[in-house]
Amino acid sequence: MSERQKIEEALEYFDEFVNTVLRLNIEEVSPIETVKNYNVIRDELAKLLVPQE
Amino acid sequence: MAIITDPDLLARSSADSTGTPDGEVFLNLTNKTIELISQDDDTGGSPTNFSNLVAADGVTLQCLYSFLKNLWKTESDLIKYPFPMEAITAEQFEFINGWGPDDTNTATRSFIRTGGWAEKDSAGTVLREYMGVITLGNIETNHKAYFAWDDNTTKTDFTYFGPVNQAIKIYETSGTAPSFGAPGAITTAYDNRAKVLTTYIRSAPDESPVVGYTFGASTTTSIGATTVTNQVYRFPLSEAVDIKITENDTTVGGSAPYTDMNITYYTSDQAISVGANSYNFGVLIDANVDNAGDNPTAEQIYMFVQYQLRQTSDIDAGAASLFGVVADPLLTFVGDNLKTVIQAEDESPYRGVAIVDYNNNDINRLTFVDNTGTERNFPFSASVTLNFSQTLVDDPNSKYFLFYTTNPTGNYGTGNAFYVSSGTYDAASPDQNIPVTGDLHYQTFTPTQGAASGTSDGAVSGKTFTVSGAGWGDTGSPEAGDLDGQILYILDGPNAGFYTIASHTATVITVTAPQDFETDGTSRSWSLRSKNTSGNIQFTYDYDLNEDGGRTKATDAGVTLVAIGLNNAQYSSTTGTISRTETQTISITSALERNYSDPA
Repeated sequence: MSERQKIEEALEYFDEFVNTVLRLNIEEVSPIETVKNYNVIRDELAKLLVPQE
Repeated sequence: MAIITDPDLLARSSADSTGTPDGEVFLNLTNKTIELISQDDDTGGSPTNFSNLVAADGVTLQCLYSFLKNLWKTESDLIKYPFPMEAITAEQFEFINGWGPDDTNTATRSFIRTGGWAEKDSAGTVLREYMGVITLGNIETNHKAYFAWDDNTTKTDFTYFGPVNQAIKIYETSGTAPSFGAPGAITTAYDNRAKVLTTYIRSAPDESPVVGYTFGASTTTSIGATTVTNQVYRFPLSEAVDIKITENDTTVGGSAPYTDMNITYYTSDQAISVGANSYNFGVLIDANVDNAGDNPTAEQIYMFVQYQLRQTSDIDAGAASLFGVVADPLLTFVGDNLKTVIQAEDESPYRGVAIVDYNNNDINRLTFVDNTGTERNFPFSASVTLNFSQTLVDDPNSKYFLFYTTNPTGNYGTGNAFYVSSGTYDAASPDQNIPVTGDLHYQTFTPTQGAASGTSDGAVSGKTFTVSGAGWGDTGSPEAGDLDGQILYILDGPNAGFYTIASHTATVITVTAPQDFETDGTSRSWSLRSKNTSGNIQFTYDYDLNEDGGRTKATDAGVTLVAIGLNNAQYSSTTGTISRTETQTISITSALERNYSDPA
């Protein structure tokens, strides 16, 4: 499995993970803070996944 | 079909959707448009059902980009044209060299997932920009989220139901229209890149059975974006079952008490009393506009407000206009406590929210936030139930007394023992407060026929009490309204006291007692009382304000409950605590009395 595939799988996992956590409405987990920080990580990882020419 | 992420699931169509398409992607080499063709667009296709693309599921922009690369590499007619896209990141792209998505034949842009993009003409000028919106969290598959920019007066629905993954336009240049896509000539520049976007989920309750849903919203500001660009932004946006919603829109929208409530947004301070003090608010929810009938419950007020906040019409009963769908939340339930929600600071300094004409039974569970952002609560009033054992219930003479166990004026067990008082505490005239003491059987009884009381007209003999002309009916077996089992109260004379009624005629009551009445040649005053079969005495305790005997208000009160009967229940006492709790019970048990004797 290539590094790119690993990142893509990890992103897919964390997409689902974040979704699941937010659905649980856990008092100690702020949805806003979670997604705000997740956006930062997603944006940076997206840069690593620029499709190669 | 899920979102298409694999370019192998896409095929180039030889015709656009108005002809006989045979693939998911049609490239118009004349207009330089890229047309995505979904299953909904394949009615003219050959064969039918050729498309893997489900409109609601869509295709990722990265997948479309990758598919186009494959085409450009293999299709000899395409390589003659400049490549249509440029990747910035896996979620941020540009359509370049005059290429762009078609949305004349199909809603191509709405099929694109997990991507934001810019559309540039052949000179490299940005014509349009789209941001990708992805919501994270639970949204039911039959519910639709919506959005509004900060200067919008109403909402725009997202295209599809369920969690959102859709691009929305954030910029459009002015000037001549590009060759691709709708709309035509752009006459008004559109630039929302520096505006605040709010995403909402406010779903209507299911009609039957009624199932309501909580509201959700998040903004670009809240997720840390001060401006937006052609990339993907993820928003937390969730809904859940709202157990406080028990009526559907048909009921709330068209029947009492909901039709007699309104919301007014003021532009000046509105002083509202909360307990003994007054505070300023800017938004008032009037729960009983005509002030007729009972004021509605906290739950009814909440259902009305949530309904209003889903309306695409002006919900402000005042002069201004505010559409419900873009108004801030006003109320929230925390457990069973209803709290008002302060309005956004940038909209008005008058952002505190209060309810007027609320139900007084709800004051312990109402919290208003005033214009300063401070929560204001009503003085807490605890509902206390004294519960008496069956021996006391069966004794017509049972009395009760509630003292403070310790009190600055005097502890229980001393001559200065201080009664607990009930109801609203009168600090100005403490001696006017009502002590918690009295007869267990205290309520007046009204027979279905005949007198309920008399003055100097009752004569005793043996175990009978005779009132000429009393006119009591029903001398048979006990029925509703019948005297049997109730209490006769003789107000004066040697037999003053309470007696259980065993039977009666139209004029004569026979009582249950171990001994006959004392001989008495004088007619006596009397009345009838209901037997307190529940054995409960209830009162309210002004927890936050009660200063009986100089005690410290708003603190738990240690109390001593004393009860005593005559023929059936012995003297007894017990201790308890009145705390800051909505309802509480203090129980007392008396042993069966076997030795009391008062011969005639």
